[in-house]
Amino acid sequence: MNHTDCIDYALGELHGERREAFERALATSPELQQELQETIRFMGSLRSVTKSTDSLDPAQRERLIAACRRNITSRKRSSKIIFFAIPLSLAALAVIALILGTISSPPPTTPAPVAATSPDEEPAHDEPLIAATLPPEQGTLPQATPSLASHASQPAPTHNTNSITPLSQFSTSIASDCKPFDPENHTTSLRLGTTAPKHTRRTSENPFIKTSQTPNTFVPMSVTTDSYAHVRREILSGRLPDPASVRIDELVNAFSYPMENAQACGPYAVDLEAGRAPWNRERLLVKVGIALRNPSEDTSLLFKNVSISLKFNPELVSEYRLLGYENQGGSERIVNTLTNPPLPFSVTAIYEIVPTQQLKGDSSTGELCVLTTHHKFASDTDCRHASLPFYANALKLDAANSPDFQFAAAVVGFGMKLARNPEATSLDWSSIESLAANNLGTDATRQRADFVDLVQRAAQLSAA
Amino acid sequence: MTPEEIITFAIERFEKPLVSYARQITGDLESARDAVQETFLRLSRQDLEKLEPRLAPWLYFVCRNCALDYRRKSGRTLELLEEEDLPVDLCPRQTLIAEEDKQKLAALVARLPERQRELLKLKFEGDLSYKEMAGIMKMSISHIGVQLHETIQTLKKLWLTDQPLPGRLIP
Repeated sequence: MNHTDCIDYALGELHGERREAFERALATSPELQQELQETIRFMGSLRSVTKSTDSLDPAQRERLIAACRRNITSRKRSSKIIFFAIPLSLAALAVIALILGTISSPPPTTPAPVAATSPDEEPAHDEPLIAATLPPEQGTLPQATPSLASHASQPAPTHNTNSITPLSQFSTSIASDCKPFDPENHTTSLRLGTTAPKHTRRTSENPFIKTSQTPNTFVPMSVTTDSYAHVRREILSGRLPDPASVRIDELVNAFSYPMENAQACGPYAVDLEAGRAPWNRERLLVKVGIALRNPSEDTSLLFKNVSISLKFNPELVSEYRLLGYENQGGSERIVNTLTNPPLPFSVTAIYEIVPTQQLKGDSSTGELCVLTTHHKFASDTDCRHASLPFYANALKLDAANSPDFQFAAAVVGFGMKLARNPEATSLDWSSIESLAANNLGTDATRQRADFVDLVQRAAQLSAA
Repeated sequence: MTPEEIITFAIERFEKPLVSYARQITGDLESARDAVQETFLRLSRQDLEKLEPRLAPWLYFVCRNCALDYRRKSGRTLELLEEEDLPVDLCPRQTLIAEEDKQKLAALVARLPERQRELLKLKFEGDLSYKEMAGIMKMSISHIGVQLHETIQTLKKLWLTDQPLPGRLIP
């Protein structure tokens, strides 16, 4: 019988046969009984000296409890929405598919989710998305991509499907060509202080990335909203915020988006939507909304290697960049080594893309991008994958976009104006205001209405 | 328990142990408090009813990551606490051991390498199992056992005998 067993026994860590053997020895050995007693006493002492009186500041604790309660309330609310929205939207899709199927059997206009693969299977990301990329018969596609130069309501020209290559053929390995977002350099903290914390200062914008060279990017999965609180406080105090304190991602994520058109992708509900950038009609925005799929998904089970990547199609997207999340670009890391903290409940990321001539000119039916989730449950040894493509023919422009998309675009434009981004020079305050005001949605919390008021104030301050 | 009750319980039960644990990693109280605040905020975004059975290991895991993040940002490396960094009221009055003995044991613990101090915190303050500790510290279960035995035995030996305090325990 050794000391190790004695310690393990005292700590409740001795199990099975070892425990039985130890107890048999204990019954017959006074020395062992003496040693165990000493060990237990010593551990009691250790327990008392490892205790500490360090604690949170009382005011900080009070704010923390209040913030936690708010989070619980909003989580309950969002869970309800997603819980009902997804089955409803899937049911609606099924009905539409049935109706269309009986008329002319056209190809799908809305991307269907690709089921999560089992750990043993190849990642869905690298498999050709056969069903998704079958060229539709000419003229049968009910919804073709509107040309960027034309209005959404104009009839789209005939599309050319021969040149579309399945997106999955563009890169061989996600591990080798990713520019990953580094979650370890990013904080999900919701600071409760009253001044703009240092880490929210933006030093430079993310550069455009050439899709032909780097089609894959990681979608950030962290949320802070400090910058919006700061911007709002500054404007309400009668001054425009310091441009360096304006972070677009934190502005966008300060609002909730119901994700009514979200689709299942692995354990997440994903809402992909693209439309025109308010500051440049030649550019597009891709809005990526991610939330846990239903209340039964437990993020803590997804601890290991959770990441979400987005792959742009170089035939349709010449360049792209993530708006906001500056200074967060990480070192080159392969996807399977990403170890994330648990996800916040929902995240919205917005990419600005430069369309290729093909996307601008003809209507295209290929994949604009494919989102892939990489996740691992606690018991998994291999990573699971699920993919959701976004097709160019689902691209909507201007008023055809959802209110959430248009409102988010207004928030981005607002952020760019406040950050004195030269690209937003031609965008005027009144356009931002009307874009936001026309897309309030249900706005139960009147948060969006408050934003419209903020835009008006900023416009006045800017003119003064 | 309702999610609200779980969060209240979690803050009540784990606030102090986590601040103290995080402080050991960050090296200062303010960052430790920030790390703990962030930990509880993250907790509040979870499905608390599902998480409840694994609350302690979850909190320590997340708190550790947050604290390491703060430490990385501050560029601070911390191996050994200085004498003046020792919490003044490290040990509450207790009849179990004499005050003098406690001071000595506290001083011995403070001289342990960071990893060993962390093991003691997780075991004695967090009441975590070897398996849970292994998950948090990214070590094998057997290695956790070996390290903890070594730490406890060294401390016990030095505490029970009247040896003068060495500069550093366990190289």
